[in-house]
Amino acid sequence: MIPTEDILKTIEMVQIEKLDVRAVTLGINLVGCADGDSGRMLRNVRTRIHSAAGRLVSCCDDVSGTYGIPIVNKRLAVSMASQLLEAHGPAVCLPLARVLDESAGEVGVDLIGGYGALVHKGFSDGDRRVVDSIPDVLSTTRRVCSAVSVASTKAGINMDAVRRMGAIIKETAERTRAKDGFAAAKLCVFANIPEDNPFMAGAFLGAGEPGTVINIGVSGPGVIKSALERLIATRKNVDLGRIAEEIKRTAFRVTRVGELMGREVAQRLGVRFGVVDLSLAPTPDVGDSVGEILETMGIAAIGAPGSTAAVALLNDAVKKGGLFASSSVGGLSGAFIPVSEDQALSRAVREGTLTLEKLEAMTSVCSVGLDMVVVPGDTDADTLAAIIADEMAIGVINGKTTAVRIIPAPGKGPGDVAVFGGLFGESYILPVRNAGRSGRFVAFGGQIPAPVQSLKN
Amino acid sequence: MTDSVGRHVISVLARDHVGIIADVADTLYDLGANIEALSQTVVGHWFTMVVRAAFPAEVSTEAIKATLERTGGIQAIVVPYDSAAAGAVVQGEPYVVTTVGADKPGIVRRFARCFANRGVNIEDVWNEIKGETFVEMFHVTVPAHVDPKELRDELKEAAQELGVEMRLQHFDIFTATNSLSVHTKKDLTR
Repeated sequence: MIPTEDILKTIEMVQIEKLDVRAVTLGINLVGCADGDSGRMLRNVRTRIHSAAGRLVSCCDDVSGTYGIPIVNKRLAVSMASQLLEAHGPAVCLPLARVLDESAGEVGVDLIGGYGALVHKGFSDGDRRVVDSIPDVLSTTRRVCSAVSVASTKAGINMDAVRRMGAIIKETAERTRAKDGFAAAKLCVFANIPEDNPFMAGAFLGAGEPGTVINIGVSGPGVIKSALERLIATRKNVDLGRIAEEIKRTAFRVTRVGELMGREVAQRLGVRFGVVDLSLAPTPDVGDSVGEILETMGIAAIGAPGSTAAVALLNDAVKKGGLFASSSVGGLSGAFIPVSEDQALSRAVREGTLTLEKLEAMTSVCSVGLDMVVVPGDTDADTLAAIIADEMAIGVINGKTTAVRIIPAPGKGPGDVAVFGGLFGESYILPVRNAGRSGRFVAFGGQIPAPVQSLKN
Repeated sequence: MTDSVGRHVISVLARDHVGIIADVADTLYDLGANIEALSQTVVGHWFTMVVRAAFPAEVSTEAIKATLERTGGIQAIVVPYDSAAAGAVVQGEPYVVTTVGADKPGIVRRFARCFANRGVNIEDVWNEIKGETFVEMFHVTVPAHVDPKELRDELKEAAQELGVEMRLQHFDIFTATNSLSVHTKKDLTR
């Protein structure tokens, strides 16, 4: 029998602290849709998505009804589009993206990831076509998201790809000038890209994954914040060890709920269950913020000294709780700090306490990287590339995933606000210091060799 | 125990004090009984217990009642146990329904009627008072033919009328969040 107190605490987590399952992402391998005839290939893709994902949304709703816990986002992650485009010309890129976009809409999901390429050691023909078409695709479709891998601990950093992505991001933002560069918010550049990440915009289905698979993103930061507030308000002599313990226990609870419901969705769909991603993913709602957790931990201004240590504590405790709760942990599994999607981080940018450099330091101890960072629209492409290179270096050397989702908001500068709306939120523009001074480094190009950490055999 | 036994169900009511179970168990043992099932609880300082026990065939219902009540301070109801007449067990999914709000007459009645109308069986129910707040908890079994979403809507309507908060939550959520066991109730009953 479960004690009454625990039953009431769990109900409070659901009712007041909004315990939910943040993402149920269905991975679908599309390689079998390949065909030399582009019309047939496109038809195959649509049919495959419909047959694999047609019941996803209703199934999630049913499971949500059974357990009384909301499943917030239902998404699709497909195998990299570059594989389907190897045998086709550039004219097929946009039609493929449109089919992905429409099919996702037809099965009722809001985002579909996988219009991307893995180029950490070089470009294939398909990779080049995908990367070149990203500005077109992301500015003219609604649901399609792109992930591009430019670095790994095993391969080093492909600086030609990094430089190219600087230009692509700039162009992608420019194409959606009227929306503050919003299309760039659907594009992630990765080091050590995970193959089973359920969170957008970086989700795709890796080559080592099953044909179809359900991956889960657990509940957001609000539950952790409430648990810490309660702990601090009701207990004496709370130290950081006790705070870590509380985070761990709460992460255990949210992970167990995520896995329980994810397995049920997978079983009802007749699909393999993949992983639970422990990442705390904020939304722009007040109370659902990683920044607010840091404030609860005593960091009065996010970005102040101590911020990196606080994030490190949070990230580690989340992993420890989650790992004990589930044997199927994967994806990114850390704490996200996406600036525009987290109102406390966004506020810190407005107040000038959080700088790009401090944000970068914080990303070295958590997942996932410089995420939803809005910089001045006149930031040049090579400076964007250099920012990417720095972040990739953190990932490559530390053997962890890092990503960059940066939006140079056209026509906007420090003090201005970029508004994306919905889950993408809004943010003041983060100044870039020393812009324009990294061009020569970036222009050298080539491959930054794999670090000594890669030689583990 | 062999067939030459008579099974009886005994309900005991007493003002709560130390030693009731010891007194009852002693009495039953002295009558030659074997306790097969037992459940007890205390509500509002009153002790209550239900026991099913197997007695030698010659021990009568009246004798059991009289002997128990002679121990002092307890009232007993004793009836012969008829396994054939036992109600069918409701098969379905385990849920917990909680209501939280100001105390008032009619809360249990209203929700229990909703359950009864849909064939939802109450397995256990208890309440707690936390300050000014009255918390009622029902452990129920929801049969497969009942849509939890419809049941939830109906219970919500009842809760609104009564001015209380209501949650209908699958029991597995409590196991998942509070227990180290990796098995949910569903795993164990499949």
